[in-house]
Amino acid sequence: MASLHITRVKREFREVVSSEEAQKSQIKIEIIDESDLTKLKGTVIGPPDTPFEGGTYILDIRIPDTYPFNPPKVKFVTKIWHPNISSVTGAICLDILKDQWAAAMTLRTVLLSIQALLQAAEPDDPQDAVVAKQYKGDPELYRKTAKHWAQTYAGAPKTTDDAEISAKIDTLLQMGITETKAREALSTHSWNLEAAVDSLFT
Amino acid sequence: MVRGVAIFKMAARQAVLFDVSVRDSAGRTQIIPVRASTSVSDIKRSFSEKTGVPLNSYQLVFAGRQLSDADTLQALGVQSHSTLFCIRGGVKVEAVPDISVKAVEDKLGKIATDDIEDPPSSPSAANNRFYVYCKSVCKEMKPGKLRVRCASCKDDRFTLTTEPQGWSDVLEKQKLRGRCYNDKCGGDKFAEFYFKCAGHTSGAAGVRDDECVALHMIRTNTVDIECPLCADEKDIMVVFTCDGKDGHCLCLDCFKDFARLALTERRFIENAQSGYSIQCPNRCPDSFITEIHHFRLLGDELYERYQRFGTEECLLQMGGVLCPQVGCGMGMLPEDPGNRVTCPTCRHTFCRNCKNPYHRGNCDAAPPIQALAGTGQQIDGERLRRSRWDEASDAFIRSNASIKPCPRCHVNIEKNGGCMHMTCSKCRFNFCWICLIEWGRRCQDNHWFGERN
Repeated sequence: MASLHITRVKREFREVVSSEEAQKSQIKIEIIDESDLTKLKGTVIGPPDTPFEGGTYILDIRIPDTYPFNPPKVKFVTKIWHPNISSVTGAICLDILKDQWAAAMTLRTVLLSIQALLQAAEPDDPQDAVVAKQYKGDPELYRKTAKHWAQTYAGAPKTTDDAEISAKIDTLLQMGITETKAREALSTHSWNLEAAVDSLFT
Repeated sequence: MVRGVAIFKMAARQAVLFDVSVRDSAGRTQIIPVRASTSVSDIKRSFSEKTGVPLNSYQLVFAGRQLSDADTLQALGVQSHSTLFCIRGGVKVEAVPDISVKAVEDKLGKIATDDIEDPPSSPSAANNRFYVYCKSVCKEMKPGKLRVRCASCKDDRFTLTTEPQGWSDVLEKQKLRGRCYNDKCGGDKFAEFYFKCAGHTSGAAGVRDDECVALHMIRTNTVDIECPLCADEKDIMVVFTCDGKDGHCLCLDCFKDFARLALTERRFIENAQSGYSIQCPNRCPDSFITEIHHFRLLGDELYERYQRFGTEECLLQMGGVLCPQVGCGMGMLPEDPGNRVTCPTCRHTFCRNCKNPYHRGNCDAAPPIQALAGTGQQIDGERLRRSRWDEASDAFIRSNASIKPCPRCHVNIEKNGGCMHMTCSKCRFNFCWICLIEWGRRCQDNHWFGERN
């Protein structure tokens, strides 16, 4: 099949670089290794009026040699608290990355779709169970947690006072728990320190 | 300089002698040597001289059009070994529209530009050919010729009263009407279009029955469109019908790659309208390859595979089963609703659900495939080797945590990443990898990504 996938990657790389969204620094794509164009680094910026606003999200993009007939494999490298993205592995549940992929789509449309997913979560679709339950059951707490993750992992500007959150994480740190584990346990248990401790020590 | 050569070539082509046939109403054929510049009146004169039929007693018909005396063969698109038909009547019938087959062929070969605000002018009308798959002689894609006859009596002595505007007028039956000149049929009748290959001459090889299938989705790239897949501007494109008109396209090379891969990965979709097919590269709804001869372009081996997969898919959708025996694969529609199925070809008896040799009770409890060794029976070495291999493969599948059978059709599925929401590549069943039940809310909430309980 010649090397259509490489030809396409080169062209789509140019398309992203020259796109309007890239000019506005909303999306970005980078080549990691000139000799291997099947591994790319993508970036999307958290859209305004979302808990992810101003955060920089790094994506791991793998181009299969059957691209563009099959979709690229994309996952989040930056940790994120979102109903449709795994808070542990970064796997994304997005139909166009699975069976709804169309050969006419491009890396630009993929990045824009992912950005759109950050804007409008779909909690009724397959999702990160814990995050989705929180999203539906306690939207305020969801926003708070997602924002905290965005500030911690994606470098979103600090706009809220996280003193209470920091205190709870510190408590767990003193028990010998790593910061990542502490944050995950607290987020999973609605920032209830007692429940988080229970989950970590049983 | 280049122009000079082209003009010279054209002049040379016009000077070449070739044969056309003229057939009268009794079916007698005269062969008349002509040049591209020969006019219809010249041909009629030769025909009358040879047969004694008075010059003013007939008219000639070609591809649905009554010919005027002044028309030249080149203007009409009449090529070597074409047949012109005689109809009775001294004068050209009035009020018959002047339909040019060449113009229609040209229209069919192009991508419709209604939606394009400023279509580039087509470089050369002669290149806008449509294509056919020539099954009988050339055995490949070739430029096509459009012909028309009476839908009732199949007589070529037929003239169109309406000009076809596009492929739907040509391909849909009983759409356009015309006038039939067969004495036994005659009058106002439906037109029937058919196609011939421009790559070979009918008479030459002694081939008569050489009608072709039109590859109506294959067009000349007259609008300088880029293939969305390879970004190259290619001469020949495959154009899908999206939203009822010419829509998304890809170049012929990418179409072949696309179809080849989709076939190998068994990603063709069986649907009521188009059969076993692939969708437009933009996944527009109801936009499929509707004429299966387009898959002929993949070559004999893959086309054979396409036909086999298509038949299997159709059978499976009807509730049929395929014999699981190595080297058999016979398709059948068992009438008995039970699980015990015996293949009528190889007599292998198997379980309808799990496809293992027939067993009683639950499929999970089915014994692993038994080796033939140690039974004391005479068996040939090759069979023994294969049974060992089968056993090893079976053991591998059973022991490998990344392979599980689809809960609906029981085909073995490998999970190579992603979430727990699986879609069976064979029957399209959506299921949960952990629970092996239909994918639903319960699994979404509990273990969609599998990392939590």
